[in-house]
Amino acid sequence: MPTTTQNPDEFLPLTPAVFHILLALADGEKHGYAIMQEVETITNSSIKMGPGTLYGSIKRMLAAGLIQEADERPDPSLDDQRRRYYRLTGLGGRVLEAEARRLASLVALAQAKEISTFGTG
Amino acid sequence: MSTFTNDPRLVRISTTIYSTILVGYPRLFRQEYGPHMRQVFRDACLNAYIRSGFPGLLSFWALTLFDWFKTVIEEQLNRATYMTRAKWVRLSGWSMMGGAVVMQLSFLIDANWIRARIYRVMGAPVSQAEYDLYGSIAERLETFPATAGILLIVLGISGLRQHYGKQLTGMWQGGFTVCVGGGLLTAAGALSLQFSDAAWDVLSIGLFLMFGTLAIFGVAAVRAGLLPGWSGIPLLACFWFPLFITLNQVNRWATGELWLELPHVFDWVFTLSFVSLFLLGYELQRGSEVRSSPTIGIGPVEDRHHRTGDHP
Repeated sequence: MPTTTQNPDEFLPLTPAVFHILLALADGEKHGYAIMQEVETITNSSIKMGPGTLYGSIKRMLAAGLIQEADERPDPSLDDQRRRYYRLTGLGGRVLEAEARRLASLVALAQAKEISTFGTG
Repeated sequence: MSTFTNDPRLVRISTTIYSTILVGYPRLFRQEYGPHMRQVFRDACLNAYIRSGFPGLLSFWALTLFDWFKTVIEEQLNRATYMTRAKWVRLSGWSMMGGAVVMQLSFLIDANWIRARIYRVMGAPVSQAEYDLYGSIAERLETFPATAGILLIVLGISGLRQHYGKQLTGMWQGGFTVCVGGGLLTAAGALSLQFSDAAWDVLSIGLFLMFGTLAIFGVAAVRAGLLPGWSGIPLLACFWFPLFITLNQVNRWATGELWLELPHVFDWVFTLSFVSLFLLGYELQRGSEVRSSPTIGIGPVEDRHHRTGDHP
C-alpha cells in the first residue's frame, strides 16, 4: 500500500542539488563534506553547494526515503572528528536511474533537433 | 566535533561566526543538522584557505552567505507550512471526536425532546395552529445535530487525508476523496429527511460510500501500522455501517420492508461506530503531536521511518 510501491517517476524532475547528491552517493556511502567535494569534482566546480543547501536537501531526501543515515565515524583521510555518513536507499537508486534516463532522453531530443548548430549560425 | 584548535586562526574565527549565524535556521533543523553543517563549513573553509589563502576564504564566505540567506528563508517557510499543517491535523482530530459525540447525542434528541424545549421557552401552545407550528419546527430541527455531527466527522476525514495521505498511493488517496464526498452526501440526506422520502436513499448511499471507503483505509492502516496506537480503530469504526446497510438493502429487496427488524442492532451499530470514530479522532490529534515531537526531528513520521531503515 504505502511507500513500498512508490513510483520513482513521482519524484521527477529532481532539483540539481538532489540529483547531484544522489549521484555522489551512487558509488557508496559518504559524509556531508565528501558529498560536497564529489559534487564539485563531477561538475568541474560549476556547482558549489553550501552547507545549508546540502543539509536542507539531505533532510528532504531522508524524509522522502531516497537516502538513509548509515553511522557516525571518523574519515581517515581527514581528521579524527566523527562524521555522519549517508547512503542511497533502493528507492533513491531507482529515482536516480529514472532521472538519468529522463535527462538522457532530453539530450537525445536536443541532438535530434541539431540544437548545437544554432550557436554556430 | 566541537574543537578545531590546530586550525589557522582565520578558519577558527570563521567557524565561530558561522556557528553563530546558524541561529537563523529553525530550532529543530539546527538541533538535528547544526553540528554537521558547522563541521562541513569548517572542512570546506580550511580547504579554501589552504588552496587559495585569504582571497579563497573571502570567496568561500561570499558563497556561504548567499547559501545561508537562501536556505534560512526556505527552512523557515517550510517550518511555517509544517506547523500550520500540524495544527490543522490536530484540529481535525478534535473535530472528529466532537462529531462522534454530537452524532451519539443526536439519537437522544428527537422531535418530542425539541418540542418540550420549545414549550419551555415559548410556553405551551394555546391553539392548534401554534401546536402545528411548534411541531413543524421541532421536526425540522431534529436532523440538525446529526447533520452537524456528520460535517464535523467529514472535517476529521479531511485531516486523516492530510496526515496519512502522503503515505498512501494514488488509489487510496482517491478513496479519501470519495469518503469526503460520501460524507457530504450523508449530510445533505440527513438535512432533507423531513422533506423527501428519497432522502433516506441519499443518506444510505452517502453512509455506504463514506464508511465503505473509510473501511478500505482501515485495511490499509492495519497492514501498514499507520496509527500511533492500535491501527485497527478505523476498521472498527467503519465496518458496521456498510454491513448494516448491505443487510438492510438485501432485506428490502427480498421482503419489501423498509427496515430490517433486529432488536437494538441499529443502536449498537451507531454506538460502536461513534465510539470508534471518537477513538480515531483521538489517535489523529495524538498522531499530529507525535509527528511534531522534537525528539523525532524535523520531518517526523517519514524521518522516523527512514532512520530505522523501515522503508523500501
